Amino acid sequence: MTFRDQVAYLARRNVAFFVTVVAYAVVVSVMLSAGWLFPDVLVTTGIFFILVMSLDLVYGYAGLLSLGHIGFFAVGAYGVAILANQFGLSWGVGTVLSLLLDTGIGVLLGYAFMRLKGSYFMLGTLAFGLVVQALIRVWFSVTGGDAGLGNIPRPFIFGAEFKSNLQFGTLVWITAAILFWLSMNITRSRVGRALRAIRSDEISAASSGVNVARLKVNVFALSAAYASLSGSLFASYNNAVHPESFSLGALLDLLMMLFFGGEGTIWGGLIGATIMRILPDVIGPFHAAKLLFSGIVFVLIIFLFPQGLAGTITSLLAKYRRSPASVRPPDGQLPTALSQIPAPSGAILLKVTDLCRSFGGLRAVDAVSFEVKPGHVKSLIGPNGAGKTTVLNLMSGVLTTDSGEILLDGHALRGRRSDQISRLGMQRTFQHERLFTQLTVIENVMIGCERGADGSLSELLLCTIGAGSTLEQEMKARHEAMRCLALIGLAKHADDLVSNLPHGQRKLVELARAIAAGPRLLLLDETAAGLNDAEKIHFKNLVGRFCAHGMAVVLIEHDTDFVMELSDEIVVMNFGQKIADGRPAEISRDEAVLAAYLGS
Amino acid sequence: MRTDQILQVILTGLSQGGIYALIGLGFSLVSMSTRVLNLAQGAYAVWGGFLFIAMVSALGLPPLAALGLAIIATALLGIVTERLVHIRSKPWRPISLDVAVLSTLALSVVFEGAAFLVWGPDPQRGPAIQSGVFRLFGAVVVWQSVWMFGAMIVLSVALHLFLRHTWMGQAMRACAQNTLAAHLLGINVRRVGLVTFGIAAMLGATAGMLVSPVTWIDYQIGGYFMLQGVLAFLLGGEEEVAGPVVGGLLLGIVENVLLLFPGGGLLKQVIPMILLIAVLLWRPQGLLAKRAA
Amino acid sequence: MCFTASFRMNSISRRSLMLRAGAAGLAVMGLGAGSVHAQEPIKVGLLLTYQGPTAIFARYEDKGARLAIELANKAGGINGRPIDVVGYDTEGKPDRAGVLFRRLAEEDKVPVVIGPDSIFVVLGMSAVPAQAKVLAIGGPGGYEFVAPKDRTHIVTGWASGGFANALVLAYFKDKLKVKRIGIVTTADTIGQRSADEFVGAAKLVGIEVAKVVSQPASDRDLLPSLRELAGLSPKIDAVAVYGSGPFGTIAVNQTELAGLDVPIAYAGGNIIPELIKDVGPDIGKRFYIATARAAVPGSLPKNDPYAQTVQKFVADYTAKYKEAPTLPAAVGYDMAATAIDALKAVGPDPDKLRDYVTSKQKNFVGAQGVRFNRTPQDGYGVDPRDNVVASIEGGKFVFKDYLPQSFTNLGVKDDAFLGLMREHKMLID
Repeated sequence: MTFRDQVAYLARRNVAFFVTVVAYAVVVSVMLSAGWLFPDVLVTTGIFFILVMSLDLVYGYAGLLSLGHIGFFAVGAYGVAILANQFGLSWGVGTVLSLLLDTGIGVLLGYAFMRLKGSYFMLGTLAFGLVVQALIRVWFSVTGGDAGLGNIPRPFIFGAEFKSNLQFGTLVWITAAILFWLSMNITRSRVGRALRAIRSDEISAASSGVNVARLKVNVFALSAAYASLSGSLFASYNNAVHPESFSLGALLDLLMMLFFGGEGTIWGGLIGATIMRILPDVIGPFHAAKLLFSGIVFVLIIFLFPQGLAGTITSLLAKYRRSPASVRPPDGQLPTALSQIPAPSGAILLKVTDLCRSFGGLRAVDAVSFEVKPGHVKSLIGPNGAGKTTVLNLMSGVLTTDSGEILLDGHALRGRRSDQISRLGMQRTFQHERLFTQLTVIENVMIGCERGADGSLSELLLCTIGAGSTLEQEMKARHEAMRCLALIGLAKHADDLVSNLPHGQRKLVELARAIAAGPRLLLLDETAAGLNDAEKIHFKNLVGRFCAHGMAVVLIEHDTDFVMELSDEIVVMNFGQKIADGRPAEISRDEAVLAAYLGS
Repeated sequence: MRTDQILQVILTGLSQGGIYALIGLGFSLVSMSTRVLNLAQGAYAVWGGFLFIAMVSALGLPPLAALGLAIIATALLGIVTERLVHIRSKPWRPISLDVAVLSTLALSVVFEGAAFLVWGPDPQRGPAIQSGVFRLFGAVVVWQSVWMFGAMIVLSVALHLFLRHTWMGQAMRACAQNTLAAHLLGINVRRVGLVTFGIAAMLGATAGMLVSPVTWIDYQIGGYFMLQGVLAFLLGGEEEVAGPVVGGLLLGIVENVLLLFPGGGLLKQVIPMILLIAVLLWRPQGLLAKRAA
Repeated sequence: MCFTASFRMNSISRRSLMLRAGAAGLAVMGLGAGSVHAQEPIKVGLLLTYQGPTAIFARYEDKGARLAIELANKAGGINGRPIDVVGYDTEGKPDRAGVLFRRLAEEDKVPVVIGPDSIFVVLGMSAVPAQAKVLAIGGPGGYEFVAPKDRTHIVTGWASGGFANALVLAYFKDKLKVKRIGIVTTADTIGQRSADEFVGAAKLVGIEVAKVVSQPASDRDLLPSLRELAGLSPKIDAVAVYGSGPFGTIAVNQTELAGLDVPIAYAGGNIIPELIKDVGPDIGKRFYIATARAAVPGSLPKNDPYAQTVQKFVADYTAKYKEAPTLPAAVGYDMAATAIDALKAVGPDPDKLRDYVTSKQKNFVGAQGVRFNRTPQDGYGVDPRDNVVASIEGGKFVFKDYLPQSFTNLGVKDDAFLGLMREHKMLID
């Protein structure tokens, strides 16, 4: 792509952002010159913009509502203050050390709280924030307690002093701009997509290859680093720190900033921070009502504009925003993933031996064994409750196996996570559709193409600086995804939100996502259920084409005619046990099968 | 340490714990039937307490009438909370938990701001049910604390019976298990939600009214109550009534026992929150609940 | 023209966007807000805490300050120029206070700021006035906790701070024959330092300190600590309590419940009716605070040298606000009056004002019933011994005795006393 193309692409993707930044700059200049806005508000807006970005990264993208980010903010601030007072360290050194400490705490907390769900995660992080504040008050020999701690130096970086408010403000906004650019890189990259996938549906994100736990922890740690930097700037600007600045009230302000602006947009933080910083001055003589007023506004935002102002603006301007998917139509080629399915090392691709799983006293899967050859279609049928989906769940790592063995081309799958199994070449669809509803159709498929994200720190850092997921790579992934969609027949819906599609097409999107990774083994759980006759024929043809490229398929269906036509071999289950395994013709004559379905 | 010191600390702990238990009960009820963590729970205590004081001193109403009116008025606040939290939900499309919790947080700010506008920053105290003290083996017991503890026990027992033996109580427990199923069975989930929030608000209001003669209340104390109530609820676990009661009393005693040690005043500020984290990490179902969360 | 004149006559006005919009609008209309026809007002900053736990004091200080300014304006202002108040709310947040102070100095360009009140707000932004080069006439009662290097541009108007409160122990030793005390305080930095002041005062006058106990400032049941003191052996014969807000009142009230029927020496800011109206009569009798004369206007001896000043203040305040004044109101009045006096002497020049208040303002009589003589070494400018000892009766403070007498009776030498002041940073070099 030429440079001009790149600029055009960026411009079209980010219409709402550019409009807002320009409008913001204009409004701010006007207010400054009219004396309606004070320069100090600009500086604190910049500082809090960084803090809001940190929270937006974890909540807006990963869906982790951390109520403890004020704690990270405090560590960044007090770190600089204490190191300056006790050891005479400069702001720069103090900031870096605090950053390291905060990131470390972020990693620890991330791992510790990762298992907590919803409200408990919020409580845990809230408790962390409160512990930090209590420690500040209690350890007063070092922190100064409620007398505060002063003498915080202004930055002195590479010989440049940032003493005056104007210089300091410039430093703040340069830092904010850099951090903003980094955040945008992340959110526009494969990692950003993986995060939004996690927020949508963790389980299918894992099945698509996202290392959920690791990615969450790394993003959490990154956001702690942002908050730390914000805190260090805050401390230096005020020249002193005091526990009151890190209390529940500060948390409320932060949440309001996030929601006024709009979580999930990153640049919404700019709007939110500005509003909250200006609010006390706007209210002026009515400051007794400030608390009530901000509470009412908060309630209204949640009620009327849950996307926040940035989100609302983006929605309004949505029609001007065009994605390159519609700019470049599909090129009619097959997805490269399909042509790159690796050849197996032996005659048997999948070998399941004595698989067992119980739930309490119920044996859902009882010593089931079967084999799948490469390029073959094996169906798994049986009455409801026979344990078919459970077998698939055990194979794909969604459930843990009690006993037995699963070998995929010699690799043992038992005990591995879903994302590890997915990377070994197994993909699946789900019985109760699990799509990333907050993403578009093509984004769902792209996650399949990219095989999720391994969540490692290096991947995160590379994406942050824009190297891990350059425009070229994005375009490549997009083309690949378009090819998959074209193959499935959904190319014209590429930019639609998944939730807007009818049921049958949604199931096909799941299929597209699964094959986009070029798996050696594809597990299809009732993917054809709910499809009409025409769609079923199309589906059958697709499966045929996949097998022709070397993909093996295990599928669960209830339409017996369909199954008979499609399968090379059929496994029949009942009450958790395998009662038959053979070619369709044999199965249709098998007495045990007939008894199970019709009753003897 | 002398025996009477230890006894003093335990008795103070029990009376404070009783208040935490009342607020924790409010959390438990709401969380039980709607899965929402109602962060406005502390605000009910503030408003209940202030309304009671205002009615007794400014309007000159007899205490019992003021009590009744204040409780009813605060129940209205609970209903407002419920309405806002469920503004966009249907039984088959439950609300996003994050958004629900945030709405309760936003409401708690509204309540706090309104309290500040109406009553200003002054801490106030209301009339006690019974003033004065008595001695118990060398420890001093404030009569109002006994009433606080007694009220908590009575209300807990009443709540337990209500949940087990009345139709509405059982409907609440049904909604806790499976809202959609309850709806399909014909239970008016919305009405159950209203009753739940209403009762939770009334419990909070009672706590505020009982405690104000002893500890004074001001517009900011809601946040503190909320945290203590959450901790009581989490410590005790999801056993509807017994959980918060045990959790609250335990919390009260632990907090005060810390005072027996040197530097206790400092430990007391840090330990409860560390306890919260520990519970979340190692026993999130709380001490009493039988099943894992 | 009449628009601008009436606009300016509203001399006690609050800064708000609306005001600015109005002025901008008028300027646009060409009516010239900067015309030199009438006298240009002098702006003075007012920075107090109207939200949070210490807000209960601020509203009295605000009233007192505005009374002083109104009276000054009625008497012709500063050489004919009226005083305009530019007021902000710190919201109890020290960082916000710092930002607002800078704004007052750099944007609103006030030559002097009245405030901030509340010691922890001051401590949180104590470096700012020196950086902004504008004097802060604050109202913290713990001014001695401000770092010496920050005192170049901060003084306090609260004549009887924590250190002065602690000196009531001289009365305890002299008149009440107290030999052994216990101390109850809040478990935080300021509580710790205030307890240290009691310890220092006790040592000076010869009282033994048996134990110091503390609980978090948010605690509302202090029986555990009080019972611990009550159980000491040999028994203590007085208790010292530090704590502003409900903590202090509850500690005082619960001494009876704890079985500590002994004299209470109080340090803190609870010198307002809202916080002492519930102190029972038996407790009130044994409650003592060393405080300024303005706390006890009703019972101050008629021949007191400051009686007239105090009574005039009471009369003016009551006339304007239709209620009796409190000590914080007198403090606010004095904070403003100090600024007004300085403005009259040297005009609206920030450096000259700072210089004047910190060294040249001599024998400035304050409504609290004191005489301010500040020096760069002494930001209070008063002799902390020169206070009255007051008790509580019927929800009001009543005069009991003069404190200096006890120092004389005990034979406490001046240099020993000055040594104590230096030790607690009341005097710096």
